[in-house]
Amino acid sequence: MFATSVEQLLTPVLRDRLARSHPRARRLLSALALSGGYVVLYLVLDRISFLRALHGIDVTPWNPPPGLTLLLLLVKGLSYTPATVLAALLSSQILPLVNVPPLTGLAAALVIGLGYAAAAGVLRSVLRIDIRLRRARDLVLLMVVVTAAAGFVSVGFVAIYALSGIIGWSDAPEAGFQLWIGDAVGAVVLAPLLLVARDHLQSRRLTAWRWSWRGTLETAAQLASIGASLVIVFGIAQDRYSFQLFYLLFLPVVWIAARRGLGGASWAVLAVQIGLIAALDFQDKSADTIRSFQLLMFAVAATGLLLGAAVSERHRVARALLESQGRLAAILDTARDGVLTIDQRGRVESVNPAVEALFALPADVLTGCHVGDLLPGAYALERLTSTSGVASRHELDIRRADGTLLPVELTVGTFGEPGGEHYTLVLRDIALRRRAEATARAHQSELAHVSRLSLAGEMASALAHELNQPLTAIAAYGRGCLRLLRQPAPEPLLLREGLEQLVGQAERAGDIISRLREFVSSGTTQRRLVAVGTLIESAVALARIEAAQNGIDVRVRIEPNLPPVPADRIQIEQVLLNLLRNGMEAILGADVADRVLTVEAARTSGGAVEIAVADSGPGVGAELAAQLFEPFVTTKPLGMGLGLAISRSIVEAHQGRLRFVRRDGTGAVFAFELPAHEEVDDWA
Amino acid sequence: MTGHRTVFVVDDDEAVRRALTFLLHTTGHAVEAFPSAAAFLAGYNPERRGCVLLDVRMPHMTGLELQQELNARGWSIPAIFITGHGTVPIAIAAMKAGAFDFIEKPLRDEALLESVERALGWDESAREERLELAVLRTRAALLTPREREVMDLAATGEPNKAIARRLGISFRTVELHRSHIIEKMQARTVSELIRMSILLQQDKG
Repeated sequence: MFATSVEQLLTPVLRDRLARSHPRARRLLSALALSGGYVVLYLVLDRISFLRALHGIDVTPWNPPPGLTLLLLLVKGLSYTPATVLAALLSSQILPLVNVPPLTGLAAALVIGLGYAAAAGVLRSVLRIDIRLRRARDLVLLMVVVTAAAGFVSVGFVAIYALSGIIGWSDAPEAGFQLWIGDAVGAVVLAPLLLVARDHLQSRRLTAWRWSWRGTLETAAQLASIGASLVIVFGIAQDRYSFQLFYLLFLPVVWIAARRGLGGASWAVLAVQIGLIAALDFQDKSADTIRSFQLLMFAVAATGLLLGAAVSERHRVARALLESQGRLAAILDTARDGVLTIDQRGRVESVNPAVEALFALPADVLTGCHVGDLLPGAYALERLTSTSGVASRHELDIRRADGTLLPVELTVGTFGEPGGEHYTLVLRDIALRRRAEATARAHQSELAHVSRLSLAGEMASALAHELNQPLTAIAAYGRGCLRLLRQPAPEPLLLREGLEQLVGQAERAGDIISRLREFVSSGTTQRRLVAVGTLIESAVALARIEAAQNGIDVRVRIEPNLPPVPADRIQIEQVLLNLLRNGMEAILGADVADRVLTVEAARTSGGAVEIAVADSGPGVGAELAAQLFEPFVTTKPLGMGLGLAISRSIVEAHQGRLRFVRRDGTGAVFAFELPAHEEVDDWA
Repeated sequence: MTGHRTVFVVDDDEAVRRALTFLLHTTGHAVEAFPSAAAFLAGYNPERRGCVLLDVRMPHMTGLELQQELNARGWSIPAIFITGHGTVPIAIAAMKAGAFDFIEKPLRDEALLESVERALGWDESAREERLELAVLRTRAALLTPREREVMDLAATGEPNKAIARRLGISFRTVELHRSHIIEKMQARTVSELIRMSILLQQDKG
């Protein structure tokens, strides 16, 4: 702050030029200004406290300058040590009533400056105290280290003065003791006050200070209590009783510390100190008496400051707690997810507004409910508490107050000590998500249906030929029978055989039609447990028609004892048929000699069922392989390029995956996995 | 008379094969069925009279390929193609390759039986024609080159005078050649001789 004030003396132009052109010079100027200000203040404080100086040298029972020194070194750092040495040197040359040789003065000044610099260094770097003294620990360490430093400084100082003959060796213990007390009390009274005041000044800008009648009255009463105590101790009571009544001075200090914390306590301690010194000086007490009172003053200061620090710390913790509660409340109030906490027995302790909205019940009804009243029966308390953790999410339906069911996702968390746990239940409304999923499923199944129609269209020629075969046979048998009947004596055995064949062929045609209709017409998805063999056989039956016409051999290998898979039969048949037709076209396009399609079903190591379709075609090029599953990518002149894309989305809707297996040389393999029945999670 | 004429059915679909066999049996035809083109080629003796009823669309060797194979082997048995939906273009290609007829599935039996009758008739007359031609060829082999020249010119309707001038021989010599020709070819009338000459010329050309 000195730097700022000195800088303000410069004209704005000069200041600006300085700042821009010589940043280092500017820093040096600030440091010099600060040091100068410190030295002046040091000398002023030293002069004021130059009471009952022992033998005319600067050893008094009340010596506040070390407090100032500590402030400078703690706040600005040890680089200001030279300034502290200089201040002590000047003080030894200006103040004392006896002549102190410059060398002796310098030696003593070095002891003082270095001693307190060491104290500041230990506090900052070794003990790492927070110089804002926000914790009681910081204050205790400050007082202990300062008192110790004052002891060392006193011993050194007195030894140097005795060595140089300014005081006699016999006076040395008394001088040392007086200096110790003076420095220790001075520093303990002043240093915390200055550090807290600095912190206060810095944070003042953030917190608005409000004036009130009550506050003003209390301040006045507290100041009056200090005054009154001083008057009682030193005014009313006579010499003899001053000592016994001294303890009255604890009362206002304790009161103020309890009410205002460390900030108030440090001011109160300073007020008592000044009053004490003023009274003793006024009564013209001896140095010895003042020393005794200063020992008591040390006790007042320590007690008041420690109490104040404890109170401040508690206030701060309470404020932080309040703040964090406020933050939590704000988060919970605005959260879209419902958050409720329950105790160990499942009783609801708190709910946020989102929970009220989820259940359509007010908070006062919800709190006190048992968790079993709110969640479906399957969610017993033991089950909830055993599955806590973000990883485990449950989807369930809750019943709202109006009786409707609402799908939610539940996550359980734990807090509290072991044995006294509480649980947080986070409920997320997933009705929208469910709807979106249902829409997506509907779209997917619509698309699959369209693609099935187009697949059937592509197979139309093969199917028509296949249908024509039984129709041709039927017509031939029918005409043949008619012809037999026109003969004079038709042969009954021949007639019967013709009719039997005719009926058999009509049934064959019916089978083809109904299989095709089943495949084409279904637009809705129905998932049931299906045997893998059934799935494969019915798809292969359709594919075989075309395969046979093209001289392609379709081989099926199904591992025995495969578990059933939960699947939409028609859709999985569609996937298989798609793969089979792709394989067929690959074989025909390449005109290979070996015309074989192989369908294999086996259990994977993961327990799922894998169905693979392999062809003996030329395989898939790397370029095409990369975009096989992209929609509208096709090698067929009439293809839409949707077959594999839709097949994959069907398989994924079945929680499986469809992949292309690269094979060297011969053919391509497409394989898809379907989770087996026992591993599908039907927990909810 | 139909006893030694056979309808050969070639179809990979057993039901269709058996049904066609049944139908043709009821109309009194002798039928032999083969499950593939290859089986037919292996089992058929080209001396046998009849016709082939075959499916256009068969694995391994299609109807069209069978027709081409018949042509290559010089087997003249008429082939009737049974075509399904969408295979008309193939059937047309087969017709161009020399197929006798094509019938669309599902079959109308009148169309089928009528076509079969026609094919059998055609086979019959084609065989007779071939037989007659063979006889004529043996007779024509007895003619001298000059006599052959005279016959061909006579078949175009040239009078003897014009033939004598064209060949640079006398009118009498031409008349002598003609009597030898009629004798060797066993023609009863001039018009019969003209027919024989045209047949032989077609066979050559």
